[in-house]
Amino acid sequence: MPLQLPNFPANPECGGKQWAVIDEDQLATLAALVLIGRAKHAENVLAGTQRTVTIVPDALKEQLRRQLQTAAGPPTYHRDGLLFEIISWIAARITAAPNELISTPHLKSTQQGLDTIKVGFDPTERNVTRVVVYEQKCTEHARNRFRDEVIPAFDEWKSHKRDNQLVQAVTSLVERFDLKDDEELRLYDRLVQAHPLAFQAALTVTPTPFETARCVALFEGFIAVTPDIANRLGDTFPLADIRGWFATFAARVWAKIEASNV
Amino acid sequence: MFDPATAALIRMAPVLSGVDPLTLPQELTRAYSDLVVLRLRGVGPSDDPNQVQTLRRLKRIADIYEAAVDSGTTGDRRRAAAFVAANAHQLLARVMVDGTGQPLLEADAIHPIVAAPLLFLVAEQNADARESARPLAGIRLDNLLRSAVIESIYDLATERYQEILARAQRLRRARVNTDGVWITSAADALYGLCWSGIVQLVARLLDEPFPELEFLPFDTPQQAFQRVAALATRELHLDVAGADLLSTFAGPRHLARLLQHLADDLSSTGIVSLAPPGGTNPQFWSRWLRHRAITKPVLLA
Repeated sequence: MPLQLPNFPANPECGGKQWAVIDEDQLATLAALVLIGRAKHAENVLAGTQRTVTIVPDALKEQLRRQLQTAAGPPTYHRDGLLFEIISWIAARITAAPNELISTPHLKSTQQGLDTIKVGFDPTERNVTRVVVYEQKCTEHARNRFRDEVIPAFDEWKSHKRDNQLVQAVTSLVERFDLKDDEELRLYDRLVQAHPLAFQAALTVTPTPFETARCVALFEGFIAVTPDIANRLGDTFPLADIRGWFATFAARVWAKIEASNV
Repeated sequence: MFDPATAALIRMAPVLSGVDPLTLPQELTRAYSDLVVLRLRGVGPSDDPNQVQTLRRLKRIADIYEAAVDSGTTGDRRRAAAFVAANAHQLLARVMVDGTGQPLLEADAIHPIVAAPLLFLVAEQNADARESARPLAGIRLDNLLRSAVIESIYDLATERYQEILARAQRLRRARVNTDGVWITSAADALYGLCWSGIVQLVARLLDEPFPELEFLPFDTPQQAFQRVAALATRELHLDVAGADLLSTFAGPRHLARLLQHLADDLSSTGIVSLAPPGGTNPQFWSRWLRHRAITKPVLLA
């Protein structure tokens, strides 16, 4: 297992986990597989929609190299954000219950786009049980980002403002269950009217260790988002040197991709 | 607000928890009149708690029925769900000043003002589609292909079919830019194939040649839309157990599903496929229909 994900609640604000990397090499392999899988999906789309597509040798690798070997400044922050999202998807995959699906949405042009969602599906009831909405921030200013960006984003989800995005995302995820018409209707009805949402924030934090009291201070205000603490999840990823760790990790992921046969 | 035929259509919408389709015509009429009165008084809906509840309920109804049009309904139930969703979206667009701030076409979703005219077309309510497309008039996006989609949806809803073909001729060499990140290019490619499908649909309705675009041609526009939906989701394989991880382009997928349904309906209502009446010269009939199709391409309200 590449990550250790013990429960690390920040009562009364939220539950949650604290992440620690226990096998960085395996984590880099999995991150490389995610990046390659997404790039192959894109390649598949480009080839499956256009009359002529010129794919030069090693084009896929070159794409990924440019995403991982970045110039200093915003491109590097963007790269770190992407890697952090990928780590959060891996964490979500490892900790998921049976019959849960995780979307890995694509780059957005604004800050308002959809972040990751995880859909729980009950195969007996043939209905959605819970949808976890994720907001991930790779940052050296965790408290500011949580207060000024994560909480307002969760409030928008909670107040139904982004239900059309939620519904479109869930519709594409549950296609694989071959639902009958009345089951589809019941699912959308429950999704929008019962609105079974949980909210999971994940942030890079420093210093290490990052004790409970620091987590409580970081997640202050979470309690106002939704009343049940089971639906408020605050994960932290403590690192002594956030940018330094991601620079090393990006190089390791690139080495995996470069050595792979894609 | 609704004539008897439209009210009858609304009553065919699927039942939802707390939503009785039999009383939906009255509910939508009441919501419309309340919101108009508030507007005339210069009061914002957000200043009135009752209206806030009304708006929230309308939005929920719109979002559920729009999803039901994507998948979960067929025939009259789909037409009814499409009409109610479009009507509610249109009402909300009239009273909400700021909307959601969401872009029109993103990888993860399409905006309700793009969906509304398409939903009215699925409901076979062309006059309402024209009206609901007005917010799209004159919109130009920096992204050429996504702009072509928006402009073509506007023209489709307002029956300016010749404009769609003329634009396709102008942009026939428009390609997806693959210099940047492929993931962004892939979303453009999926929207581009949706555009190509709209062009093919219209070319068929006007009995005009389908301009050769840079996107893959298919026997029918429906097949193009099916290709978009099929390509939009893919599972990522990892060597570690756990939940399925899916790479998704939910926005183009949803657009393709709406277009597919309206293509099914429009294809059967185009006038160019009408058989000549007995005793009519078939060539004359065909020429006349093609001429007539420019101003009245489909036989609908």
